[in-house]
Amino acid sequence: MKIQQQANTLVLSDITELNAANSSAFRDQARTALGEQCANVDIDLSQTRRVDSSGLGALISLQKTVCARGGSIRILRPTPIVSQILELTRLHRVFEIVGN
Amino acid sequence: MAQARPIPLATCCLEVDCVLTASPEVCGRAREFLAGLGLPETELDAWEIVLAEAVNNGINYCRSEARFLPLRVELLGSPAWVEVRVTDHTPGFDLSPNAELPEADSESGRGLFLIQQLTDEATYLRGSGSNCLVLRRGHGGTPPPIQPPVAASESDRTLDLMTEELASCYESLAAIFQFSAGLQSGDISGEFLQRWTDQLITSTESDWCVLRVAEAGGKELRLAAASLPAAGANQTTRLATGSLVAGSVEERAVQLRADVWFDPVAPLRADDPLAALAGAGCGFAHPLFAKEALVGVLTIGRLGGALYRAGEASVIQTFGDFLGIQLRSAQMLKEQMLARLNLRELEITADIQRALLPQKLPVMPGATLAGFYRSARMVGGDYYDAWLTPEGNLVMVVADVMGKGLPAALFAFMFRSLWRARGDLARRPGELLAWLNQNLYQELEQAGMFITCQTAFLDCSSGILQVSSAGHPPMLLVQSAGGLREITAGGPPLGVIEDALYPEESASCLGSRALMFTDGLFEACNPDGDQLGFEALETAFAAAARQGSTGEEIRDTLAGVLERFEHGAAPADDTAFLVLCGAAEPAR
Repeated sequence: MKIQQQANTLVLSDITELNAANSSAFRDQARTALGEQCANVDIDLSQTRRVDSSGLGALISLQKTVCARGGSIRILRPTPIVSQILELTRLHRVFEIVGN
Repeated sequence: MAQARPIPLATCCLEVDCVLTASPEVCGRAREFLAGLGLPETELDAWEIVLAEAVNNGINYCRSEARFLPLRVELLGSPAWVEVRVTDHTPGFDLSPNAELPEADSESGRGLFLIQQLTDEATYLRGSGSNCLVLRRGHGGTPPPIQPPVAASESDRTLDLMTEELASCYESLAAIFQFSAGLQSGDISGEFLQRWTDQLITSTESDWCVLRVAEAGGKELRLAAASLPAAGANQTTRLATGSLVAGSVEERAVQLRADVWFDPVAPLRADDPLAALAGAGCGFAHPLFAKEALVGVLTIGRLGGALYRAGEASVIQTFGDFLGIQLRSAQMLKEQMLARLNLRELEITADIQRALLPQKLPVMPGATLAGFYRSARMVGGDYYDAWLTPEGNLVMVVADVMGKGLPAALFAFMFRSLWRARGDLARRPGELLAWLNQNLYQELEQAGMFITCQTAFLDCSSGILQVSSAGHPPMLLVQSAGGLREITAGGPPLGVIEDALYPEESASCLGSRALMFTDGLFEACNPDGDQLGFEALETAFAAAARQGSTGEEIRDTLAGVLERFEHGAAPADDTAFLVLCGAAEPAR
């Protein structure tokens, strides 16, 4: 996973999988990288082959952290299969999705 | 017309270690197999998600003792439909036909929803040691029924097995009713439990069984019955009674509040007390609970490799649970009987106590006497008494037998009988106490008890009080001149020193008020736990003595002081006192 800071936004990209095996590490790394300066988080899922229910849990957990700090979270360019999962679980109503 | 040729089914069986990091690999391999069937990418994506959720569930919720067992994924299908079976070693769950999405901010609970959304059929078959999630999805074709056709011989075998299990259920139920009849007669002895385990072994074609029952409020498990094959034929080995070793299969079953299974693949731990006896066989420990309370644990096994089928396990569980309820009922019955016995003992003791106290206090010319008694519990060891000699002199006593309940009441009764028996010694209270001590010493010493008391003799012709005490609080005397005097003369409590001496003290009682009491009076506590105290009692008595003109008035004033001080707090100790209002002049 690649982590970049653009102004007050943290950009997470190069995520190939978001599953039970790596979701906890993803969430913890993102929280650590948030630091004090970043209010918002953009998660680029254009390279993501798969998201399972644990991965969805990690996204929601991160969203709660960001919202509690007054920031917002966006999901950028999800792959068709990821979009399908988000829609199936109605989470497309919860996250702001850009470039679907 | 030519018959359609059946489409050959492709199958694949994969096994995965019970760790989450192994999940993507098995899902990838399954995807490769399905791709080989010619499924389009969208179907492959859906199946990969479904498989990931099913496999992750099996790994996340696997029973700790089965973690080394692989999770099995079986795939069966054609280009038209696919069936996937995931066999897990979790405790199992009830699969709702329509799993719902959790709240939007919930971080879990979407796995089953995804599985059901992405498959046409999802069935969860629960077993004794493992469970199987069967998932099906059609791809333009019609899948065959959920149970693929099997050969006639296979059907017959299944039918035989079902019949056998059903028959064993009936046998077991019959046995349960038979034992129920035994329990209703109150027979729940060790012998009964041994017969019970023997019956269970026979009914379920088991080889051994160990039953432990919970004691000390569920903190201990005591061996109640055991049957294990020994070297010789038809012999049984009784396990030594003892507490459970940490980590034993029995203890884990109790802690998990769930069955813990073992078999040759997942055997008992080497340090498990049952390991050496159960060998490499199979079985399980089933905790027995009745209304959330631990009643015991039942462990049963077979020495051979024949695993218990679901139906057999169910019979054992039912059998065990039924016994658990019966054991709890018997335990409650015993507790109720004990409570009734205790109550009866208290009633008897209270009767004795009531008989000890004088029905009516003596009446004397010019003097008045009043008594007060209150028990802290139902029955206490405090007591007072007074009687008139044939010459018209007054003999009084206040006593406190150490302890409560029936033993204290019995000693109080003995004391009273002896005290009243020696009217000839009444004039010399010190000698009377020495005699009482000698006669009660042995019994009190044996019982590890003692009695404190104060006895007094009032010569009504002179108005002189003669007093002696055995380890008892002093008599308070408010004299006619207004001064307060403590009369302390005496020796140790009765039952402490065999040949103790009891000095006496005398005082004029003319126009005076005397108070004899037990320590419960000045040790009375208020709701904050503060004691009234001796000095406060002296002050209260002095004030009451100056205001009151009769024993009853002074007694009632003191009782009021006590009540106000305690302010509703439950008395911690028994309280007894006697108030004597001396005559102004000697009796003629």
